[in-house]
Amino acid sequence: MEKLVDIFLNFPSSPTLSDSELYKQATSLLNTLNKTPATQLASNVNGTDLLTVLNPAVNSLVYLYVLVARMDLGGRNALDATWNNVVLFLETFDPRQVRHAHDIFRRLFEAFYAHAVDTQKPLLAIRPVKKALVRYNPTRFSFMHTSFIRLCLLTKCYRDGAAVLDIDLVEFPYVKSKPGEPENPVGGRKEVTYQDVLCYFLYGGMIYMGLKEWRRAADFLTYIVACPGNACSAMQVEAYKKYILVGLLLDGKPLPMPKVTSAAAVRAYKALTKPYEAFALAFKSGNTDLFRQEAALLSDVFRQDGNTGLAVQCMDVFRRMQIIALRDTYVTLSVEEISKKDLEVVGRGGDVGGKEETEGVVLGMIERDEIRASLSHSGPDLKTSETTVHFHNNPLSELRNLRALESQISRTISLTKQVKAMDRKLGLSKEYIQYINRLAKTAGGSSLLSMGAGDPDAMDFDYGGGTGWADDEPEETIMQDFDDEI
Amino acid sequence: MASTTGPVQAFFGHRKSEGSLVVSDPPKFDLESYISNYTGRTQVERLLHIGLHSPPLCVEALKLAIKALRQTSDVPRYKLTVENIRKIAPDDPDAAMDDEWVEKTSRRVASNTEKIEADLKSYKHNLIKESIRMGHEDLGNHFYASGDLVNAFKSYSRMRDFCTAPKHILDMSLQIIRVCIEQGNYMSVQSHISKIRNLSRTSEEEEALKPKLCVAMGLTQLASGAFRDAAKSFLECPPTLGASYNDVISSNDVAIYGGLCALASMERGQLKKEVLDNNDFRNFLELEPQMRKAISYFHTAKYSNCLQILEEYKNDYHLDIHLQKHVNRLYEMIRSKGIVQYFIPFSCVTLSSMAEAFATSEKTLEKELVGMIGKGILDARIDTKNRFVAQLLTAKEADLRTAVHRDTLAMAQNYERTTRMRLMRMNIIRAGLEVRGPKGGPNLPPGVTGQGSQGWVGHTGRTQGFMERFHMG
Repeated sequence: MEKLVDIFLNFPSSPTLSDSELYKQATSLLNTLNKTPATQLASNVNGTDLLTVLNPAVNSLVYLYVLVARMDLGGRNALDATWNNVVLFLETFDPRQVRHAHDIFRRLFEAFYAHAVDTQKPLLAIRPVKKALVRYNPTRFSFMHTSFIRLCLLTKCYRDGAAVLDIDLVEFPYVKSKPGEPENPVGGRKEVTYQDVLCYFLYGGMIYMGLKEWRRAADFLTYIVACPGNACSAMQVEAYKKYILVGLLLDGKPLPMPKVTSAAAVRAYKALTKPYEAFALAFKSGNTDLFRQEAALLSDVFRQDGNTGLAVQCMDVFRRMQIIALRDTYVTLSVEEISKKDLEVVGRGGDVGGKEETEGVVLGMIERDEIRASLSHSGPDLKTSETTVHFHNNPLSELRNLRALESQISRTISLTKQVKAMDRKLGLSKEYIQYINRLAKTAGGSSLLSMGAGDPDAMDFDYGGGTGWADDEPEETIMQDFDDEI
Repeated sequence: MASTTGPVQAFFGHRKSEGSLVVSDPPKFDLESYISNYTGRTQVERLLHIGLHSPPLCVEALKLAIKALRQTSDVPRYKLTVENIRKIAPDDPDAAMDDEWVEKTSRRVASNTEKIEADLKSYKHNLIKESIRMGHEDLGNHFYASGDLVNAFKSYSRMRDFCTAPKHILDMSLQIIRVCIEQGNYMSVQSHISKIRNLSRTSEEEEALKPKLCVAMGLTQLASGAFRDAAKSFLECPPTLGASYNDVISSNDVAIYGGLCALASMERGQLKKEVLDNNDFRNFLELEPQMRKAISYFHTAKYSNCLQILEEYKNDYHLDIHLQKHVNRLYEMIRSKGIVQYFIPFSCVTLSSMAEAFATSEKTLEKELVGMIGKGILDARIDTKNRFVAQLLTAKEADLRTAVHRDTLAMAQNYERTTRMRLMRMNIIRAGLEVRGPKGGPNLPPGVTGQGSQGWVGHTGRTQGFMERFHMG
């Protein structure tokens, strides 16, 4: 046993090993570890706890095996006992080592997650899971993503969730199985399924909704609404419902369905989201009575779908949108006239929709910079005074615009890098080479060569290079081959 | 007159409740001289139209209609007219159905139909194209005269296969146009106009045809609400029209239709150039001096005078069969165009002076302005506190600069979003994570309906039940 401990402690031989050397060492260690019975790993050595001897940041791999061994033997109780060790491990492990024992790590993670949820203390799990996720590789989608976002939703820790969601995903684990192979081969399983991905986007959208970041929420919902495939998932339909409502909250009209939405999904949306479409239509019409009717009619639907919160916010926004629209018609308007227009839809009772309440709403909008306007009272006496809204039409300060532009430029540059990387990946993929070959055959000869040598800029997606990414066409033609296989 | 007031009121009250228009004030024209402008079936049509829409003139109009109808062989129409007059003025001598005439005429019509059809059959037997064509034409004329427009249209259409000369096609098309205008079937009017236009013909024929074609086209465009095109067609109409097309339209009508459409659709400069200075159209306008006046008032920016004249003649136009449906829209367009034109030289105007210029109260004007701004016709904003309307200054340099910034930003953001979505999509496809339906099963999601009631409390209180819902499969 001591010999084993020595081996354990000697791995890795130095903290600055190259990847290949680490791989060599890790493979031999894993050989040893896999041969060692769990009871031995879980037992104490010379009266001392193995976990206290090992450092989770340095001896991550062994630490992981020991934790899992205890968990396997002791079940839930063991997890309770080693909770702090697991937390410590998750927060400090060395991802380079752990990657070699991916499956074991996943077992530990999932047990930990389940335990946290089952024992009603998900809040405690947030921090370690977040750290583990960020350490592991936040830009590559993993089984941890969906679990973590679910935890955040459960505990309403929207900020923590958003911190992870803000990191762009640039990679997904490759799970494509060959045709004919069973979906889940016996013994092993795919790291993630499409359900995980959809869940992640849906929950992500919901977290942004919780934070009222409608733009990001809409983006996430777009990902799921337009997710490629030959069928439509229930999650997509739920997402599309929210997508409509979020669109209303974002700029007062339903967002258009993304152009690349799969046909099956479009069919399902059309069939299953009629009430929402009607709601959006009423919202857009600007007709208070119609909207109120529709809202009352659909309150049950919203309750069933769990979208009541969003719908109520839509009703709230309706009035604000209408007030914003007044800006285009009037220079000045008395608050009384605004309140007379009867724009209140939520119907909370009390003074809602009255003169003073309307003034409060307008004031709030001015404070939040939703409209550029000022309020003035005609007299000092509050009872007789008439409040007038004066809409300004001087635009927002230039500085703000410029600053926004600048950050946009830097974002676009980083995005362009991603696009280039993606382009390279696609260019090297088997499908693309087959496609080029096929082209070469049909064109009768040397187009493969000419593609490679003739026009070096052809594949260079520089920003401003004129390739309109905002349009449909360029990548669509390249992707044709892929789309065919979907 | 006094004795007929009761039934008249009852009749028109009933019509009003049915949603049809009733012009209760007397129009400016004199019925007899107005109707003497027309010949043929349109005369009767117009009389009937007036009879059904104008209480002051109804009896007179219907009586005239009956008088005219007795000269023809249109029995169904005669019956209809008599029925109507019976409701309005039961004591009138014309209110009694002349059964003898009805029977005699119906018999004559029936025997004529038989005779012409028999003739046609023998022509067909002999296979002489020209005779067959004429046979069809006779039949068509007969049906037209006896009020059977559907069959008239059919007969005229059958002439088509037997036309041997361009002239024949021309005749046929003109007949069909006449029938179709009366039926309100403007689609085929249009197709036959283009058919005629495609025919080769001499300049003389061209000259003779042009007025009719212009007018027919104008009516078609008017009916479809394309006022700008209608105005153009009517304005192009040469004065040689005269009384040649009186079985459809009179020269006075051309002046009115053309004038109103032009007012509703043209800028002031265009009005001057294309209407007032148009020598051909001047001939028409002289027939309707008030229309000329209205147009020149509009041109000289005296909008209230112009609108006043139009208002005075509104009843006349409501009693016109072709114009009735469009009068309100035309007036509305003329009015809002007047407001826009009035506003051009100002950067801000007080509501009161504007109301004065358009002869309305400030309140109605404000409502109108709000509507126009909402529709985007008027680029202005209202200051309700100081009671004036301010032009929206869109051409300021500072605005342009920020507008460019804003647009750039929006475009860049759009680019970013689209690209991200595409990248995500490609990544998903590369990883093989597309949504896949159960093999062989329907592609619709399972249990989307009827499964949603598990513990959803608003936006904030979602529970485990919901979470689990998505972990199926």
